[in-house]
Amino acid sequence: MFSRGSFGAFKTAAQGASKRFSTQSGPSKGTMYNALMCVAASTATGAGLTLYYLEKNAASANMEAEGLHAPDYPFPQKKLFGTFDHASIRRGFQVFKEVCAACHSLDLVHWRNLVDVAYSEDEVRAMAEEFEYTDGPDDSGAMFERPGKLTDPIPRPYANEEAARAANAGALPPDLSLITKARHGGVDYIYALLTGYCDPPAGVEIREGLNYNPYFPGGAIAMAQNIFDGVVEFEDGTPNTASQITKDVVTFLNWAAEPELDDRKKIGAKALLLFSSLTLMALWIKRNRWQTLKTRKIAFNSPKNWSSKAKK
Amino acid sequence: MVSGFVKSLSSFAYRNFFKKESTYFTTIVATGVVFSIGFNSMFDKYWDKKTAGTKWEDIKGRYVEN
Repeated sequence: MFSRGSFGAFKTAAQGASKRFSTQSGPSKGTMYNALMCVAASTATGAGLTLYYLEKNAASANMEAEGLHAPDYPFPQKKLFGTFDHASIRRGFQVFKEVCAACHSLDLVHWRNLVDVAYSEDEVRAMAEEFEYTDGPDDSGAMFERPGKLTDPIPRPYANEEAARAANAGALPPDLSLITKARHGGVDYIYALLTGYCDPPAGVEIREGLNYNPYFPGGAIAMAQNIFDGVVEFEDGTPNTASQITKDVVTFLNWAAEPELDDRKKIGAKALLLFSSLTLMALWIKRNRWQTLKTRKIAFNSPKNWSSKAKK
Repeated sequence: MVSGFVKSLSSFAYRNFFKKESTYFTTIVATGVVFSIGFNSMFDKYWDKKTAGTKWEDIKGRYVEN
């Protein structure tokens, strides 16, 4: 914005004037100008930022329409270089299968996605074979049922949206494949939502069939609380409190939405390391090569006779 | 002297690697390959130590019978 050139010209003009007519014995007009500019710029920036954030976080009488802001939970994969806890993903899938899969689909995750992430190939094959999938047509033209394979998707609880709405009093349980990326607040929001069920405050009426949850925008959510202490038994012996169960299922959902997170963070760390080193090297090499040009002096030796007569 | 050694080292490098374009190119590619292998293996070792116990490979032992 303000190049060194334009500032310099301004400064010299101010200083030039002061050199000829100044009566100040303190800081010169040049430094006074600099100081005033700094104060003005920081005041403008501070005022601008303040007004922006006040506007953004304005309190209003209708804040329940936004939903209560979820707290900042210490999920390890939220940190800049943090990765998933795969044991948690494994427990989370068990919770999903036993509690959530009754109503929620997970269309974008296939059985093969779980291999070498949370389960071994044999375990996934065994889990897939417990379900029946429609396949075909066979040679006579009829569709047939067969046990699941690694290439099949996680089974849907309802065949289509209408069936889902009919079974849930008109409400559609959303697909959870991308839910942590699809909701403002991400993992924090999902965790707060699942653990946040409580009685509505005095004066708030929730109609029959809906449940109060302060984190849900509007406050009235169709899903009832499903996660309680001991609702799932973990095979690795982890204590099955409601908060542990919720933490694991949220970690699983985060993995489902961002399976590339572990690799992405590793490659990102490598990239940051390499690019910052190369940038510093490039800056140094540039300045080194330009030194000869930037420090050269050009001398003008004026001719002895300035004759206006043209040479013959 | 140290500076003399550095000068003769850089002269050696220039004459044998940087002067001809073919050798220069080979040097660049070879340096890239060696750096890539070395950097990646060192970084992966550090990263695996940093994420010890959280990856599938670390909990695999409990669930796979070999």
